[in-house]
Amino acid sequence: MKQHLMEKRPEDMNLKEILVEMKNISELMVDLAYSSVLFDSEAIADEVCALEETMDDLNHQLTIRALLASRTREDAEQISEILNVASAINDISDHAQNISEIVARDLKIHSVILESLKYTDEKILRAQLEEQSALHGLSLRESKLASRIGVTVIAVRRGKRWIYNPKKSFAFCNGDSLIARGTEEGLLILREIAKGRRSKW
Amino acid sequence: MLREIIQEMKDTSELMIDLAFAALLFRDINIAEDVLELEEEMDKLNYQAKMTVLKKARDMSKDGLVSVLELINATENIADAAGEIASSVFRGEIHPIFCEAMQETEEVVGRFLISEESVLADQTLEALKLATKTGMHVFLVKRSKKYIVNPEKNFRLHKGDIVFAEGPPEGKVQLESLCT
Repeated sequence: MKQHLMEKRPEDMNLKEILVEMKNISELMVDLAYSSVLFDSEAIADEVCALEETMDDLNHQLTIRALLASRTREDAEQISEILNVASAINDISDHAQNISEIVARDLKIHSVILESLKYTDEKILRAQLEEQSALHGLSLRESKLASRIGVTVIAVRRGKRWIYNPKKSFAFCNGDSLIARGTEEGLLILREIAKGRRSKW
Repeated sequence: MLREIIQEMKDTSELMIDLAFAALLFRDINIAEDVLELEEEMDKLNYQAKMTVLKKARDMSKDGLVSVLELINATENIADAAGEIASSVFRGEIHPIFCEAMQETEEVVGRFLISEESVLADQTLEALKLATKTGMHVFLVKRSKKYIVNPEKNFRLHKGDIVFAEGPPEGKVQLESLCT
């Protein structure tokens, strides 16, 4: 099982930490699932599959924590709502996996899907960092891409290696191929930054 | 057109997730009801999408057909899950640890009051470009008792409006200071 996203194993986490991870992973899975279809990438589809396993593990640990945490009837009522919501979050990740299975099962992706993904409110784009890009050497934290241009880096391909959901300390490097989600405008700025045509943002 | 229906289904399912978490965090039954209304709209879109796919079935490869149906189903199911999250608000209180956890996720939902002096007052969303400049995506505005879901680009913010937005924690801090 892949645990690279998380600093702790699910069995060592408390209820709050599990909830945080479940929400983060389900959102990442949805982004990655659409990316896998958009770029017809089996590697990304495989990652969605691995994340689904992590998600199941988290959900299982959450149930145990929740059962242990309730002492009174009021506790139990409030905690049962947590379980309901967590199960819905888990459902979202299941359906994300169904999306990526289009790629995993090697179905021919109909062009209407790719067309429609071009017009959604949030878009996904792939951009390669060229040598002169100002991102080279910057960490994700320093780059402030999320809060300055509204772009979230979902995954990075470095050589043959994929880095999913890069940490804040992740440093960009020439040649990195980024998969990012954001507004059309933000993604256009990212493309300019990647090409080295823009050094301030 | 099929392209437009699929696009709208994806956008609606994502909007519903944002709204569902907002309903839960702020214990707001009105927002939860908006989610359920959107769920009905999703059902209609789902039906329309499937009818359109079937009409085109003869011109599409079986593989291609399945890929489209799978995607439609998945977006519909994601929307249902959002409906499930929202309906928790009708049942009772959720344990406070849930709301605490939702402050520590990579994307957070915030509620912001546009003050008298806010630089955002009297500006359109299009001019402000908040999603690009702060990463915060405005998905709901509450104006006195009215809820405006997914406001259009030409929507003009007023002082006293309560803006609901989703994005990175740093963006939330930025938007907070722009609203005051």
